[in-house]
Amino acid sequence: MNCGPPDQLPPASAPSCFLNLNWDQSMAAAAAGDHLDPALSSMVSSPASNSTAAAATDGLALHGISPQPQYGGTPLSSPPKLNLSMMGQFHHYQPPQVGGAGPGGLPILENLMPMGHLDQFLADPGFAERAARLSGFDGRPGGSGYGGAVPGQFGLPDAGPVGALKELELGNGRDESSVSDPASASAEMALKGPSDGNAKKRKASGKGKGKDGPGSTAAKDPAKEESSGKRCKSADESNGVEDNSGKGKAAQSNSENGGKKQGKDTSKPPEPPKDYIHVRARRGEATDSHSLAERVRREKISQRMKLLQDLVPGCNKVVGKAVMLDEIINYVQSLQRQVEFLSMKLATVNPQLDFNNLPNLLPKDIHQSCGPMQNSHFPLETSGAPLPYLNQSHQGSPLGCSLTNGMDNQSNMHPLDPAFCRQMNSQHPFLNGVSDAASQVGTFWQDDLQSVVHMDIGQGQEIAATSSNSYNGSLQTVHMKMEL
Amino acid sequence: MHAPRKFRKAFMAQLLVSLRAAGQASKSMGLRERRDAVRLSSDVAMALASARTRSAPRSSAAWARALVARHAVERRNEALMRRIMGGAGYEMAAAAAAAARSRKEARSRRIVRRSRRVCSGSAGRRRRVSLAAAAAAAAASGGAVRCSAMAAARRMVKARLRVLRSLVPGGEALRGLSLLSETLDYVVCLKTQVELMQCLCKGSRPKLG
Repeated sequence: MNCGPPDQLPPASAPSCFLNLNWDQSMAAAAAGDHLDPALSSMVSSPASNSTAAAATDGLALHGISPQPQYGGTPLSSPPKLNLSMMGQFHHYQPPQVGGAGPGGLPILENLMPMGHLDQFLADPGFAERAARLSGFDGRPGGSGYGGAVPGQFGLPDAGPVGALKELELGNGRDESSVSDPASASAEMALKGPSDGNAKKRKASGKGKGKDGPGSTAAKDPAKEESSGKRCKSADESNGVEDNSGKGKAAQSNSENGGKKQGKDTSKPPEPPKDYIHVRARRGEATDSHSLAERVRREKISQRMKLLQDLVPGCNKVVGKAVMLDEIINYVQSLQRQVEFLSMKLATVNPQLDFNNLPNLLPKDIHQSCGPMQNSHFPLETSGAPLPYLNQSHQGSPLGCSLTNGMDNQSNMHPLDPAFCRQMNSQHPFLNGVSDAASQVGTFWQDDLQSVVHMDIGQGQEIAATSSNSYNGSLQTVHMKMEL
Repeated sequence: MHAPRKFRKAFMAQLLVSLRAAGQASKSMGLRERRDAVRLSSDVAMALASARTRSAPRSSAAWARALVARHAVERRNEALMRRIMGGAGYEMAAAAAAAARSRKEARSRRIVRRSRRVCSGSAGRRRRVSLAAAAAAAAASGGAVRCSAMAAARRMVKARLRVLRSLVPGGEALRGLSLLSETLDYVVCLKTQVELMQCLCKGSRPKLG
């Protein structure tokens, strides 16, 4: 049930909390069984305070569940209409999803409400997800910012049904209050009882949106007092204030765990809800949907920046966005210039731009796939004698060389390219022999590919013997197969 | 962060094919034209390879499309591009380029008009707000200094982003997050392009892993 890591729970207070909760559960079960409609009562089932129940039903009605008619008479049952457009935006943040996230977010609810209708909760993914998310939501400001307010709120002498209700109410109330619903905000406040001042403070500072209607608060306070006051007191007596606050913390950490797990669930493993990112607001941060969206965006941007920082050399020591962007710009420019330079070099060094004499440029499979294309593409060289390009390119600048004799130099450059030639000489015995005689080179490059094959036939074993170039040999045999 | 092996292989194969086409086409060219042809063929090869090796086949990167379209705008490239990309591919790219150009003209006129209106409005409002803020913060000195410093930093970042937008092909239409992710993708591919072309120049075998 308690799904969080154990270090999050204060070890001393947790057991007592659960004990207490169990006691509450029995109470709740006893109390809730009698007069509630099964469909919604599982959510709202509070014999304690109908005002909050009404608020909750209203909130839920917004989400598509029909409200309970039996609470129609309470003053809260007709709260000011919720801001539906805001609601839509809020929902925009929670993509429909999460069958699996329910159990992560729901432990508290299950703890507190051992009713038979729990499976309804679990079966309702929307609600489960919302509850999980909101409980995650809740823990945050309490954990960091409102340390004083929240334990009081959670550890409020909540006895059974009230506790359950409160948890629900927290879910719904937070939902509503972030959506600026005065009614539910005030309902929550009313529930809070002793820590009313705290709650008010929290409300005022946390979201400036939940304006509490003074009239409704006044109307509800007495109701709450009479409904849950006694139980509150008894719980207070039995547990003591310290224990209560501890319990509050435990509950809160529990809820936080739920939220965390939910976040992990959605962010890491499952692919489908990719657009859902769990956001947490820190102290003093706004929690309305716009600010959340903005925060998500900023997070993504900083993540991209980090990736770019890793990508661009010499950028990881730089601090500051502007300087980092400078580095990135420089790097992109340098790469583009390099491409330009390299294309110039290729154009000069290898005027024909055919590289099929470089069989080792590609792995076998690609070359095979390219092979037929090469044969169809490749026009046979028909020009005159190949120049001993090697010496010239050694001496002069390659550009000058190609300008003087580049155009009509139809011979292929690459076997004569110094580096390549050296490499080939060291590796290929047959090229060694070939590159010795210019006439041989000429025939080699002027003739059809068949000539290659014919030349290779004699040396096939030799090539195969040089195991360093076994793949080259196989390539030649491939050509042979094609030609023969 | 390296480009995946699959991309490098596809890029290399495409590069060889398109360079061969360029070599064929550039027999009677001057050096400069030939360089342009090489550049074009390597760019197109990069774009094609990146579009081909994407995980989702339909979502080719914006920079790839923009790169091809940029080359397709030039009339003289038509024959070469046809040979590299095939007739249908070229037709598509050219049509996209032409459409983008005509659309861009109309759109840019509209945007300029609208932005002028918006800018004047928001600037006036901002000035008023900042005046009020300055009056409020006059007592608490230091606040204004910090504010102006932050504004300067933001302006610097904005200017850098503008430059980056002009560098990344197709980046003119992008803002913020999408610009950065495009840049990321583009830089990875550009790096691969440089490496492979260096290998071609040297005549050595590239590491395709």
